Amino acid sequence: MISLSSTVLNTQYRIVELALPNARERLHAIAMGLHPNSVIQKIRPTPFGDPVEYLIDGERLLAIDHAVSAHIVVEEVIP
Amino acid sequence: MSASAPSYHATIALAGRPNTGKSTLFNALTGRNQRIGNFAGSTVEKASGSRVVNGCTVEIVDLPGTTTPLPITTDQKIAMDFIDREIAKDQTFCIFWVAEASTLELDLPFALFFHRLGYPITLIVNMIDEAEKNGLAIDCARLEKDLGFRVVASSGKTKRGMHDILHAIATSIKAGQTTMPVETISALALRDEAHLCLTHSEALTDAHTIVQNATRGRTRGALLPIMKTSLALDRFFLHPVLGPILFLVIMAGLFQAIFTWAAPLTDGIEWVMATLASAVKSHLTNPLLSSLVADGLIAGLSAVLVFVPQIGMLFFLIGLLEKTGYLPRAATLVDRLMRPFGLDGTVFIPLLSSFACAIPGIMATRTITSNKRRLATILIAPLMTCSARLPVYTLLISAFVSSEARLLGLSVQGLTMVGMYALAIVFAILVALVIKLTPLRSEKTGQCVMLPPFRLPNLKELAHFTLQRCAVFVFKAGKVIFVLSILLWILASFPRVYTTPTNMSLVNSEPPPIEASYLGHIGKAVEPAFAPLGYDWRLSVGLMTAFAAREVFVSTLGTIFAIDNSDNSDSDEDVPQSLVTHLQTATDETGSPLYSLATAVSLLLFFAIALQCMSTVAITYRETGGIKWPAIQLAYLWTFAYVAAFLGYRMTLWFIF
Repeated sequence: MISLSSTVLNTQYRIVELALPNARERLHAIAMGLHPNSVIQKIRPTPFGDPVEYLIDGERLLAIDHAVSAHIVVEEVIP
Repeated sequence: MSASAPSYHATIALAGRPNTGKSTLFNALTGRNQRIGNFAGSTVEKASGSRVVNGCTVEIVDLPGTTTPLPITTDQKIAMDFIDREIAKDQTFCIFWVAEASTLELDLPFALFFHRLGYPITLIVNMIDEAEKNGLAIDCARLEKDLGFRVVASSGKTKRGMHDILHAIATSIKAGQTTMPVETISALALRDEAHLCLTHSEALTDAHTIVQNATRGRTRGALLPIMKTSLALDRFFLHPVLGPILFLVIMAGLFQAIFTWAAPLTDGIEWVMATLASAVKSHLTNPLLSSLVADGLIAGLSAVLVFVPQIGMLFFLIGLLEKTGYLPRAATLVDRLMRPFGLDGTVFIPLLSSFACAIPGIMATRTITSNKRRLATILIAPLMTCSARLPVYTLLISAFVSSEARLLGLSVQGLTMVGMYALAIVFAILVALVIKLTPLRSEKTGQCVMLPPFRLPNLKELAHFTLQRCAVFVFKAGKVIFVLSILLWILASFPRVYTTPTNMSLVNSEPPPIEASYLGHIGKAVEPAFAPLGYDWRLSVGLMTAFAAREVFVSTLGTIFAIDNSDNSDSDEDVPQSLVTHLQTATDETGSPLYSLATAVSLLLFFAIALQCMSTVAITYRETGGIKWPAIQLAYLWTFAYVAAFLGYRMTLWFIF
């Protein structure tokens, strides 16, 4: 298991845990669609490196800062 | 709009995440046009309409976009407060939770969470047509059975499912008075954030199972067809090289449009108002009444209306960028660049809007999640070069910068104007850096922003939205400018009994010379305060009147220098040429030039910084809910402006001589 920030481009991962520091941040992440078990894929960093664009469950795009993605634990989806 | 209409049989609140088509649904249900935006939290004001259902008048309210049960942004707080206020009333109330059919799993937990707390709720599975295009089949009957509350499929765009929604409203009315929930959402959020988070997470798990059972047509993780286009376009808009270039081109186009395309309309309004004032002056024989109507009422109205083309253009173009889905991407693009100054991408839209007018800019801060960052943005917003500064800059640059001067082949006048825009950004950065040293420094929080799919905007709805925003500006901000203009007319037109230089008291039906008016007296009284900046009483009066709106400075100087309007009636310039000449040739008692390049530098710096806009003060008061922040904003900007103008004046004098 690794953090979302250290994933590689265009590879599918499954969200295992939202280890964000407080309830408020966790709730905000959930509301944005970062649900445990969701399939997430790094698409591309924005031009200045941060945030990074991610595709979630193939149905929504999120721009996530490194400060958030570093606290999201994921595991690679084995096809 | 009739949010305060007296006798509704029931209230229906359209709630949900931003970009789920709430506003389009609201338009379809009420026949009114409201904003639909692609940027998170675009519906920043409560919009309500009414509809008669089975003989009962129902109020339908379009709530601001809500992403979490916690009131993190002002918008979300507005939505939650409204729900809890309505639920406590002695009448039928129901939340119609609007979910996007293609991303049902994202929206359902929130609806389920509300239901479990005891709120009356109906789920609207909206944009069902788009979901079908994406190959999804949603079994609403199964959803309804598993959820335990009403579910209706609809499309606001094609008006599909409207009959079913009206039937659901009728059922709510039939059910009668609403019962109170076990615990209100506001009370729960206050009591225990962690518990709220846990309860919401439970709803999330259940929602996942329910959606899986009711949806056919795709496996989890498979790419939705609508996302293919977005991913392809993002390859360009978020490209490391092309992305910033496209951003600069789009922003340049935006400003070009605001200041070029709006100009003929502004000129037209000025011409109509000037013609109207002339007609009034020639038809009204009573000089006092004539002056009140022409110089007070019409001038006041004109001061409001001249802003409308630029504000309309700004809202239309920003709305266009929002609805296509580009604006959130632009905000993420600049996010990294803004961080060293204690800001982030969330402040981009408010600051961009402030380049046309600080009023919509400050209103747009409602979507900023951090309260400290929101306050910092409100404090910085008036530094952006708004359209009201342009007439002042044009006058001063025309008068004191040679039209023939060239630097590297470019006009120095033009470069000075561009320099004023650059200076505004430099000042904003400086203030942001200072704010970092104060308690307003925002806690470092990571952002997670939704990038909505690229969609084709509906130009008709956008045009209606633009007209609506212009009307809001005319009636809300316009009231302040209008009243202040009348007040200034009174100060400039009285007393009618005054003393001449030969010490004779005169009673006159004509207005006094500006020097003998109350305004003149005030100018003389404040002159010593502005003398270190190089201003005489005339410029001091101009600064005072410019507090109503910055461009009033030009008309005030025009009045003071007794400009004959017919002199410049043929001029194509924005600034009366005779006023430029007056500023260049004015002399004091000793015959020395009254104003110099140093005065112009001082004035340009003062206008670039000082908060000379009553409407901005009023909007800051309204948005921050008290006198503290507008007072701080006014005090720091005036102090900063005074110091910069003083240094600019002294350094230019030193440099010249």
